[in-house]
Amino acid sequence: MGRRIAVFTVLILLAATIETTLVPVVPLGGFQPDLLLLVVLAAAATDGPFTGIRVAVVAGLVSDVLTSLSPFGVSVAVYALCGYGVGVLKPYVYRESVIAAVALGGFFTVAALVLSGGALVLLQGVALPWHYLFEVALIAGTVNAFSAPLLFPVFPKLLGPFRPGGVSRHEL
Amino acid sequence: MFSHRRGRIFLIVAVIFGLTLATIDIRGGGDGGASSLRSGATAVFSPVQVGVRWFVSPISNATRSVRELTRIRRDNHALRDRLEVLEQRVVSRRDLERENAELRALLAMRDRTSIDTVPARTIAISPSNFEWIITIDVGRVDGVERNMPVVNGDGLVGRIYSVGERSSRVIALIDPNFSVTVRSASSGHVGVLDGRGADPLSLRLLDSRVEMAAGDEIVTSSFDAGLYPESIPVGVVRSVQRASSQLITDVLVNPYVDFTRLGHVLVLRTSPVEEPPPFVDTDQEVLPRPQDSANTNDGGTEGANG
Repeated sequence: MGRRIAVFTVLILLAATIETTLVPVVPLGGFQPDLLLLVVLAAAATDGPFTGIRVAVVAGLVSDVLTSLSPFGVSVAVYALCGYGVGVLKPYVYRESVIAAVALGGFFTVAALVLSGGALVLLQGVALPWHYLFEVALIAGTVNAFSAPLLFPVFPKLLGPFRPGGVSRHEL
Repeated sequence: MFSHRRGRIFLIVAVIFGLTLATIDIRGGGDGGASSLRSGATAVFSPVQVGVRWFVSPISNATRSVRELTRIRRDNHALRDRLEVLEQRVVSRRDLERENAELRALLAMRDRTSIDTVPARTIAISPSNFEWIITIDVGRVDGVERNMPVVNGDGLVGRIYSVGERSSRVIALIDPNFSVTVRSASSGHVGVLDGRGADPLSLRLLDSRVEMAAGDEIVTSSFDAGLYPESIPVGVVRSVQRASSQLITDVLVNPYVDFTRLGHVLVLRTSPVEEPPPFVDTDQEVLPRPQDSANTNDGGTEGANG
């Protein structure tokens, strides 16, 4: 179990580092893929809702710490909803299906960005144009939709040697 | 079933936890524990980010070179055309001497009003799509303080938002939370420029009847309590649209700085002008206060009575 936590921690920190340093190199017109969310979705798709929420809370805290203006804690709530959503759908989708990975990665990224942006507008009154919010959500959703089929199959292989215990047994 | 129920409870706890943190952060006005956590994270992450940035900079440069190849070819073609035009122009020596003298005078002016600067490298950007925050590798030990303006060779980049020991976060000009008082370089008319993310900046003119045109240069004004030095280039007017009511003019401004290619910046070590003390009506000093006035009247009455 401790090793699984270590693997998730490394993945979250890696995603955070890539997102803050490497992403500017990628020509996406100033938009960024949400890699931390992708890690949450992949964890939930591999292990189910419990792991999804746990990873979401940690990844959300890291995301909130690395941002400056968004209310602290919003990413935790949004990521938790997405992690739970993907985890609950896990039994109904074929694990190795590319279409399922594309659909889950795309839909939940769009939902997460609309929720995060909406929270920013409603809670802090930031003058964020709605068309921009949906544009960002669609671009990040497209990037994550195409990234998900690459990342989702890697997680079971990464976590394979470290069997889950405790609560996570319910999800197998 | 049991698992689903526990899952829902777990989710509700996580969401409530997140929203509680958000409420505490908003109520604290951004100066509470979250701010300290974020400063700490910047301090911890910045060495890693510096290292990764150093490692990937060749990849970044290569990617940028490929991207810029088309633009460079186009620029090259345009510059060759321009060179031909310039070669055909006859420029008198006297005119060059006059221009030289003018430029020397400008240089002398710059030296006279020079501001202490701190050079910095950008090491990270915010992972959020809804905020434009750049992390730079200088901090408190370098003399950087909150609200200091940040510029690069093209113009205004933003201002220091939070300061760590050896790194700082800069809120970019294009962030929706950023506003700066500016003026038109040609006419001097003043307005407030607001960031709008990836969209062009929005300029709110103090006098909506002012005529502005596309191509007008926008520079900083010292109206922001002297926070920004005068005349730092900010951007160029992209379009001017007058609403039907004629009371509101929508002026859109393109920033000079390309925020997708920020590498080196300068922090200007300015300090804002102190607010003058509130206005005091000097007449109040000679006029008796109501209490004194009442005492005087009493005394007067007593005196009269006596």
